[in-house]
Amino acid sequence: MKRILEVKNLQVSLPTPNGDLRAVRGIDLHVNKGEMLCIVGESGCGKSMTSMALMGLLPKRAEVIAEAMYFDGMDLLSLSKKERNQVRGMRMSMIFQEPMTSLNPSYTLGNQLCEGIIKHKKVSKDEAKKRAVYLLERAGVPYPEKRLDQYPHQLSGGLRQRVMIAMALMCEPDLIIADEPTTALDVTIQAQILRLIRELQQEFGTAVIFITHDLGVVARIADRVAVMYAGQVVETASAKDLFADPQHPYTKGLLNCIPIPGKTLPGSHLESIPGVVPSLIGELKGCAFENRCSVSIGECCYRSPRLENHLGSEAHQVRCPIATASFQEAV
Amino acid sequence: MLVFIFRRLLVAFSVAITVSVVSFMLLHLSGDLAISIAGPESTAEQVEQIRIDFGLDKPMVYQYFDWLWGAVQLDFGRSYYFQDTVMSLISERLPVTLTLGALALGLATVIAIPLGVIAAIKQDTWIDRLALTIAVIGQAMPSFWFALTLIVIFAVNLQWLPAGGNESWQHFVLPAIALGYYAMPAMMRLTRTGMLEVLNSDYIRTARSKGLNESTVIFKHALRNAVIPVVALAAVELGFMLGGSVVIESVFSLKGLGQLAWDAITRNDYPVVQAVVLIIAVFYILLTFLADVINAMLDPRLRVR
Repeated sequence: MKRILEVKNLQVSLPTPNGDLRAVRGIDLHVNKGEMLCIVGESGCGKSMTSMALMGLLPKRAEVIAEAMYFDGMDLLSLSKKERNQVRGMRMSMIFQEPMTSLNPSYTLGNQLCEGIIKHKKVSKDEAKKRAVYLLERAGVPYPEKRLDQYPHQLSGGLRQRVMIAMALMCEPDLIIADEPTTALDVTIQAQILRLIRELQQEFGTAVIFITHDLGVVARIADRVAVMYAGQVVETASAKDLFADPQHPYTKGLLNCIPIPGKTLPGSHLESIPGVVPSLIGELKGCAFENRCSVSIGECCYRSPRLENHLGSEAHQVRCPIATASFQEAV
Repeated sequence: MLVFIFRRLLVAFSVAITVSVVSFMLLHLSGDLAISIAGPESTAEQVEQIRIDFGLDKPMVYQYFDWLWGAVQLDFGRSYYFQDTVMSLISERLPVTLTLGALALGLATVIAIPLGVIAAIKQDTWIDRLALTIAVIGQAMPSFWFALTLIVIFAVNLQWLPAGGNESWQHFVLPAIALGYYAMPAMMRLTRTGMLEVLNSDYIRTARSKGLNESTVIFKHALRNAVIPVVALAAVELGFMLGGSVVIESVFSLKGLGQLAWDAITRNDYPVVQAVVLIIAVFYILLTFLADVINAMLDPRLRVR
């Protein structure tokens, strides 16, 4: 399968008064054409930083280094500012977490939907409007023509997120990054929006990086999953394999935290992962999960594990030498 | 939008009526007008005569409506001190003050907004610091002192511009600079803070994610939202300049409304004081109304209120 995005050893750090905050610590990622990759992890694990780095939206003070960052064969890091602007917006777009604040309150929805395509594809205003109406309709917005003249404050949060989705699709991008697009919505709306993103993704053959902290969401929509912890990918696999055969202690811990209707008895103890995420300022010695891990051994304190194939398959990789056979052989 | 304008007009009108009542009342509460007009050495009969001549013997409500009816027709009666009608005094002075205020505000806006935008974009660089320093100096320096300094440099030493009077446009340059520099810092700071806040907002990130040019992001998406509080401030400042430019007007001996008000107050010239207060208040109300309309044009959310 052709890869639309390939990232090798991506690192992002932000200067803080206490030292550099290394939010992303060497991430390898790839996204195939037309697939849905979910990045899961708890708050502060660097998933949003990763997405912002891919879009090139980090503040200037952030330092982004990568061995490689290829988008459809183009090296994103070597593009000029203008070329990067062209790629972002036209070929990559983004859906954000907060639909209430992500639209400019002063301009009509039509204006905001159309400005990107008018700039990037040099289409006429009428053509842009036609596409906007079509996509609003596809995104399940009632009375799409009327919406073009409306302002964001006239719409509910769920509708605004539908507008954001339509906006992300305006230029027929190859990749959409959705950063927790359902987190701020009501549960009933969440399900609708998830279904919508999945449907449109399959209909338009767009690749999607879906960022979430909710494994329930992952189970419903992901083709592949990357689990992040403390700025690193700790496990990546197809959604099926990850839920059926999780390897990394962190992934297992996360799965244990979810109550299963019918299985988890009322009143029974709901699992949680003890401890807290380590500070991401400065170097981390050994495995980042070591202090919270139930299966760690002495070696974990000083040996930083690498992402290794599980059962010899590149499709399922784990950053834990205990889980993969390699370590047991070495011991 | 029309409903919005109509409702604002209604509010503006009721404020104007209230102001007219208050300004009328204040003067009549400040003592027996007939005595103060007649002066300390007058006899009781003279005071009584003045009371009848000026209509001060009539009931207060009658006097008020009499005055208001005149005011609506722009007839504010005659000045007690100047040998002229109040209206001709004002129509002679008002253009001077309006010109000065408009020039000063224009100057302040033209400098404050771009400077605020640049300072926000280049936050924490030397440009930002320089802009803030200029603002602090402007806020800290007394305006009469700055005005005198301008006169010393440009009128006395270099002799480029006249030091006082209001005969030609050149006479307005120095006063406008002095008054404008007084109004500029607050606008500059407000633009800067507004821009900083807006540039960190989610919708600016959305605009950037669409791959728009930086200039589109800043001027289309950011500035329009950042400038909303600045419009309101500008209206208040212009209103303030109409009434409060007394200092600048006397330093540059401009015959403006501020000076007229000052002269009238010191001479107990009540019809003039009343008229000036009312006119400045009406301008204030008009400016606030105008700022509301401009803001509603900028921000659609304000139109519903």
